[in-house]
Amino acid sequence: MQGTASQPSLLTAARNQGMRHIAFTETNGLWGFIRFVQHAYAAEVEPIAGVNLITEQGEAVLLAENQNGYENISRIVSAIHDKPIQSIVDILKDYTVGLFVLAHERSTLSSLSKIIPNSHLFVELRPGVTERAAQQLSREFKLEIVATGDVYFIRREDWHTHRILRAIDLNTTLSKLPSDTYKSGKHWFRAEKDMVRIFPNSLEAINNTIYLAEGCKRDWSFVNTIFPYLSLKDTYQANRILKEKVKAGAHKRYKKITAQIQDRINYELYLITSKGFAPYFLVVEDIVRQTRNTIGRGSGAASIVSYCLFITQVDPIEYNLQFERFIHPDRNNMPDIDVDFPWDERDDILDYVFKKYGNERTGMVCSQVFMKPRSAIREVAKVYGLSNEEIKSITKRIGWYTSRRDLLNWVKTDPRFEHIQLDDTLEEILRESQKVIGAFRHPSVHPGGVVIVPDEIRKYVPVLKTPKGIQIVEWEKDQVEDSGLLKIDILGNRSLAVVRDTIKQINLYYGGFALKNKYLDYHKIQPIGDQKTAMLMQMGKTMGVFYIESPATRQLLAKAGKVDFEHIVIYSSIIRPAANRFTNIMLERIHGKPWDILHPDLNFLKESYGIMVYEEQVSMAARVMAGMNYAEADALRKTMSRDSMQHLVQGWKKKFCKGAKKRGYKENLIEDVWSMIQSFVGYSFCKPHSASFAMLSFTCAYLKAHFPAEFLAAVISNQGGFYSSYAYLSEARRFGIQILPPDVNYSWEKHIGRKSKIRMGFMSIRNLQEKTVKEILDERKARPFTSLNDFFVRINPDLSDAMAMTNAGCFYALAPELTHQEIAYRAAWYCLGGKNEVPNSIILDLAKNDITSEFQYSRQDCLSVEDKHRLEIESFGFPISNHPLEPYLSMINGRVRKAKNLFQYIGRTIHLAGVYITRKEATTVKKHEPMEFLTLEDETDIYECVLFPETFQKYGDLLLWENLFIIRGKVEESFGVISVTIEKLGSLPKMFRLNQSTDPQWGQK
Amino acid sequence: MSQTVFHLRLRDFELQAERQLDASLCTRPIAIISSHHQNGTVVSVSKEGEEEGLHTGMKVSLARQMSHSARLLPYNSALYRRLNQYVYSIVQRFTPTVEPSGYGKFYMDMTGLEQIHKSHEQAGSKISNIVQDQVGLRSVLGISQNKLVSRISSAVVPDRIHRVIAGNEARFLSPLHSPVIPTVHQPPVWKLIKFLILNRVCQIQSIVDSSDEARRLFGAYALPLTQEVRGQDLSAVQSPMMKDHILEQTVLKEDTNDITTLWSEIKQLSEQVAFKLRERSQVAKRVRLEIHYTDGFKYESKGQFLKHDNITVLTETWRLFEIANARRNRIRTILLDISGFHQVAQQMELFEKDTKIDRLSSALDIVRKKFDFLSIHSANVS
Repeated sequence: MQGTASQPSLLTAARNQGMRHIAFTETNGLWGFIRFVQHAYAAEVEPIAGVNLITEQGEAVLLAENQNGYENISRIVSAIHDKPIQSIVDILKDYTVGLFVLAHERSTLSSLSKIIPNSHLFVELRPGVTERAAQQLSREFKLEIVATGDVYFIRREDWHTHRILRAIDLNTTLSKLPSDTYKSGKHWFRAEKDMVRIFPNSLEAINNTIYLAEGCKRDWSFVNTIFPYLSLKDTYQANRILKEKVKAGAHKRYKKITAQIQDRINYELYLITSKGFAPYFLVVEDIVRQTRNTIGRGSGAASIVSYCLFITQVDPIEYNLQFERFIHPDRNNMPDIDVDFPWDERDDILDYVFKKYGNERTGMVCSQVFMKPRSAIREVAKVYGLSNEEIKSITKRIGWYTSRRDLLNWVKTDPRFEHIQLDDTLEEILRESQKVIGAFRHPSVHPGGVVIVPDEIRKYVPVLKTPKGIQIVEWEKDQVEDSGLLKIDILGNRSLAVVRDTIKQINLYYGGFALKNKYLDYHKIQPIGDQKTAMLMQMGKTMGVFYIESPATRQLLAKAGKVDFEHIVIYSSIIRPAANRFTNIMLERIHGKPWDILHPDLNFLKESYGIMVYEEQVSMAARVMAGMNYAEADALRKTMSRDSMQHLVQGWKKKFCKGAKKRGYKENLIEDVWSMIQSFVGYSFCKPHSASFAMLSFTCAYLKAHFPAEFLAAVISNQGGFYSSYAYLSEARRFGIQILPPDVNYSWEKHIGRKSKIRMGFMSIRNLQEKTVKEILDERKARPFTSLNDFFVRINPDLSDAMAMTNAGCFYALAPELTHQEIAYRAAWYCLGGKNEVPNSIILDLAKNDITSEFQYSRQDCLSVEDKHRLEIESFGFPISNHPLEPYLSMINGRVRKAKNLFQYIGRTIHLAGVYITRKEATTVKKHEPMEFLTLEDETDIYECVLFPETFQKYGDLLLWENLFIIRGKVEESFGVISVTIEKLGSLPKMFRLNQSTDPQWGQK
Repeated sequence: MSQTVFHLRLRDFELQAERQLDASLCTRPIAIISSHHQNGTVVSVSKEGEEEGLHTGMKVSLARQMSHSARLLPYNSALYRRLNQYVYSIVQRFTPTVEPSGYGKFYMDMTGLEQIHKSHEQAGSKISNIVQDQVGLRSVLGISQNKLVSRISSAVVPDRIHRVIAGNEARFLSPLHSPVIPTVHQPPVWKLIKFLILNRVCQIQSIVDSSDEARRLFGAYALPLTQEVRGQDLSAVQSPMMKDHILEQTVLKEDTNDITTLWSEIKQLSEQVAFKLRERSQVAKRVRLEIHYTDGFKYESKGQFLKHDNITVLTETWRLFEIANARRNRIRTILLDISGFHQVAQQMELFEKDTKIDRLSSALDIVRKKFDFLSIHSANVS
C-alpha cells in the first residue's frame, strides 16, 4: 500500500522513455516478481530483481547480480518477515553474495561498508537527497554514487492517491497521517532529462545507474518444474514405486484388466515417467491416502493412473476422458492434480504435509488480495470518515466480482444507484477509489495450494507466517505455477463432508453400527442409472446437491429432462455466466430441433450438441482452425480462463482469426467459433473436471433421493451451501420430513437426520457457546439429564447460555409440566446463584397476576404465538413452528394463488406471496441493463421469478430490506418449467399494516 | 403534606408544531428527520407515516425507499425551541417550580396550590386549555404524587388529564407494559425481563415482592426497580437554574473528520465552557466529553478542569477529544458535560502575574457578559 503505479503502466512509461532496464523494488517483498518479469518481457524491457529494504533502523535498495543474489534477496525478505525490527546489517550479514546494495544514510553506509566490498556498495542519490550530501558520503566511504528515481507514482498528481493508500494501510484519516509515513510529492516517474534537471551536477551518478543495471541479472527463465525429489536415484525409485502402486490399484478398480485398460496405463506411465512426473503423483497419492472421501478434480481426472491411485473417482475409459488435456507429449509445464477433501479434514491434511516435508520445504500458496471496486470504495470512504451504513448504501449495489473501473460515471448513470445522493465528498471518494483499484491490499492464505520444494523454500520464494502461524509463500497460485514450483491443491469441499456425514448416519441406523456392518460405502455407491436419483434430477429437486443446486441449474435440469452422466457433465460445464445464449440453443437441440455442426472439421463438438462447452474444445478449435501448435492452443485456453490475462484476449482473437482465414475458413464461421470461445472468459472447465464434479453430484443426488433426512441434515450441518439453513429446512419439509427443535438429551452439535425426521443440533442456536455444548455432550455420555435441576447442577452454564437454550426450547422435554415462562424463571434462578429449588410462590404469582385495574388488558398465562415466533427468530434466525407467511395467511388467503398450483395459471397474471430464498443479479445481453432472478417460497412450494430491467429498476430496492413479498406476475412456461415474470412487487408486512389498525410486529425478516 | 406533581406532555411535539405551521400536513403521512442527507435518521413519525412502515430511528434513505408519499421534514429546532419557550412561559404562570424535560415536556410542582385552582384537575384543565388556545398544540397531563408516575401517566393514558390518587400508584402501573419503567431499560435488567417474558409491570411487581429474590435476579438494580414498579420516586422538581451541570454541545454544520475543523470547534466549545466557569468562579472535578459520530456511535472520555482559564480548559478538552476520538468516522456532535463544581481557591498574588492573554481574556469576558457569548468569535490566523 505504497506505490500507485501498476506494473504495466510503469513498464509502458519506461519503454516510452526509451529505458532498457527497470528494477522493480517492492518494499520488503517480491510479491509480484514473476508477473513483473512476464510484463517486462512483453514490454521488451529487461527486468531486474530487487527489493527496497526498509526497517525502523535503516533503509537500503538491494539488486540481484546473479541467481545467488536473487536467492539471497528471497532469504532476506523472509528474514524481515520473521523479525521486522532489526538493523540492515544484521539482516544482510549472512546473505551478501550476489547483491548490489544502495543506501543513502550515513549510519547504514557506515555499517554496511564493513561487510560489503566497495564494488557492490553504492551511495544512492534519490529525490529528497541532496547532491552535496551524496558527494560527501561518497568521499567519506570511498563509494560511487548511483542515481535512482525511488518511484512511488507515475505522475505528480498521483501523490494524493499515494497518501490515501498510506492512510488505508495505517487505518487513519488523511489529516491524521503522520508525515514520516508517506513520501513527498517528488517521487514520481522521471525521464532521464528530468533526472538531469534535479541532479545537474551528478551526471556520473546517472550514468552509473546504467552501468549498474548492466551488471544485474536480467535473463529470467522458469521452465523447469522444481520437484520434491531431484536426484537420479530418487527419480528412479519413484518411477518403480509408481508402477507398482498403479498395478495394485488397477486390480482394485477393475474386475478385469482388458487390453484397452493396460494399453492406457502403459501409455500414461510412459509419459509420466519420461517427463519426470512420477514423484509428483506419489506425493499426491500419499496425501490422498490420509482420508477416504476425496475427489480429484481438474484435468488430472482424465488419467487412469490417478484413477488407479484413488486420487480421482471417474473412470476415464468408461467416460471417454482424453489424457492429453492432462499430460501432452508437447506440454512442458506442470500438470495439475487438484484434490478436494472434506472441508473439516483439510487442516489435518495440511498438518500432515507440513509435518512430513517440514517448514523448510513447504509453504501454503498465498492469495494476494487486491483492491476491487467494492473494497476500493469501502477503504477510501473510511479514510474520508464515512460510516459503514453510508458505505454499504453504495457497495451493496456492486457485485463482488465487478470489474468496472469508471466508478463515478457508473454510479451517476446506472439506475441501481439512482437513490444515492452524490455530494462533493462522495464524488471525490469515487474518483479516488477508481485510482486505487488494483493496489495490493494484503496477503491471505489460498484455500488449498501447497508448495513443496526439494531443499530450501526460502531460496525460491520469500515466505512469511500468517497471524494464525501458517507459513505462506509470497506468490499467489498463478505466479507459483509460472515460476515452476510444484503446487498441489488441497481444497476443502463441503459436499464431500456432506456425503461422509450422510453415509455415517445411514450406516449407524441402517447398517447396525455395533456390528460394523456398512450399509453404504463411498467408493461403492452406484448412483448412475439409479431410477430414483434420475427422477429427482429431472424434477430439478436438487437443493443441497453438489454443483447442481443453484436455481439456474435446477431449472436447466428440469427443462432438459435428460439427466444421464454425459448430460450432467455437459450441464456442469455450460452453466457459466457468459454462456447463457448457448444454453438455450442446447436446450432446443436436446428437445429435438434439427442441428448440424458448424463445419466438418469441428466434429469434436458433436458430443456436446455442436456447442463448445469444455476447455479442451477451445484448444482443439484453435489447432484445427487457426493451425496453432499445442503450446499456443494451450496458452489461448489459459488466457481465456484466467481473469488476470484478459488484456491478452484481443491479441489472441486477432491471431485466431488471421490463422483461420489463412486456412480458408469463412468469416462468419470464424466469428461464430470465436463467440463460442469468448464465452469461456474468466470461468470454464475441462471435461475431466466436469466429470469429476458430475460424479459427486450424482452421489449427492443419490443420497438425497434415498435418504433425504440424513442428507439434508448433513447439508445444513456442514453449512456454506448455496442456500440458507432456513431454505434447506423448508426443502426438508417439502420432502415430508418433520423438523424437531433442539433438545438437551437428544440433540448433537450438528443436525441429525433419521428416516423421516431431522433433529436440530445445538449449532443452530445463536449465542450458545461451543464449550457449553461440549460440556453437555460430555456429561450426557454418563447418563441423560433427568430434570431441570439435574441439568443445572451437572452443567452449571452461564446465564447467556441458559437463556439461549431455554429460548430455543431445549428443556421442554425435561419439564413437560412447566410452561416456557416457568422454565425460564427456573433457569435464571439456577444461573444467578440459587442453590435451592425455585420458590413455588413466585412461579404461581407469575402466572396469576390478576390485579384488577381500570385498564383492562388480556392476561397471558402461556407463550403467545407472537412470543413463540419472536423466540424462534431470536434463537435460530427463522421460525420453525410455522411458516413465515403464517401470520399473514388470514389476510391473503383467497387473494393470492399457491405456488404448488402454478401449472394451472400458465399465461395468466396472478398474485402470489413469498418468502425470500435467494436471488441473482444479471444483465441483459444486448443493453447490459441490470435485472434479477429471484427465488421465493410460499407454504406450499418454492418458485422462480424474474424481474426484467424495468421492474427491477422500480422495485429492486425493496429486495435490499424486505424478505416477505406479495407479487403480481405472469406465469410463464419454458420447456415444461414454470417461472413468474414479476410485474409488481410489494412488501407483505407493509400491506398488512395498511390493512390492520394494529401492527402485528412479527412479520420478521 | 403530600407532594403533587404535574407532567405536561405535548405528544408528538415536533409533528404538532409542523402541522400547526402548515395545515395541509394534517392528514398526510409525515416524518421529522435529522437531516435530508441519506444517512440522517427519522426523529418522529405521524400515525399515517407508521402505517407506511416508517418508524423512529430509521435511516432517511430507507424511509425514502419505503414510502414515496410521506413528507420528510427536516428538524426545525428554531421553531421547536420558540414554541417550547412559549409553552414554558405559560406553565410558569401556574407554579414557580417548573422543570423542562425536553421539548414539549414539563414537570410542575403543584404542591399546596390546590386551593388556588379549586382542584388539581381544574388547574390541569386550565393549563391544557390555555396551551391549546394560545399555542394551538394539544397536550395531556399526568397528575400524581411524584414525577415518575405523572410522567408515565401522561405517556400512556389517552385521557387529556389523568390523576393517580395517592396510594394507587402500584395499582395504576400493574397492567402497563414493562418498558414504561425506566430501570427496565438498563441492559442487564432488560435482558432478564425479555427472557422471563415479563411483559407487564404486574409480573415484575410479583417478583419484587420478595426482596431477596429480586436482589438475586436483578442485583444492584433490584432497589430502583422495586421502587419504580411500586410507583415510588423521591426526586424533586427542579428549576433549570438549580441544575448542577453545565452542558455544552456543538452540532457541526457538516459531518467531518477533518482535524483542522474539529480543532476550531473544540476551541469554541472550550472557550464557552471556560467563560461559564469563570462566571461562576468555579472549576469542575468531573468533565465528560462525548463524541457522536455520523453512524450514531458515541464515544466518551473523562477528565477535570482544575483551572478555568481558556488555555487550561482548551488543553484538557483537546486531550479528552483525542482520547475519545478513536474512530475514523465523521463526527456530527461534540458534547461537554461538566459537573462536580467547587470554588476556585483564591490566593493573593505577591507579584504581578497578569499576562497579555489573561488581560485579553478578562476584556473578552466583560464584552461577552454584556452582549452574549457569541458577540465575539475567536479565529485561527494562519
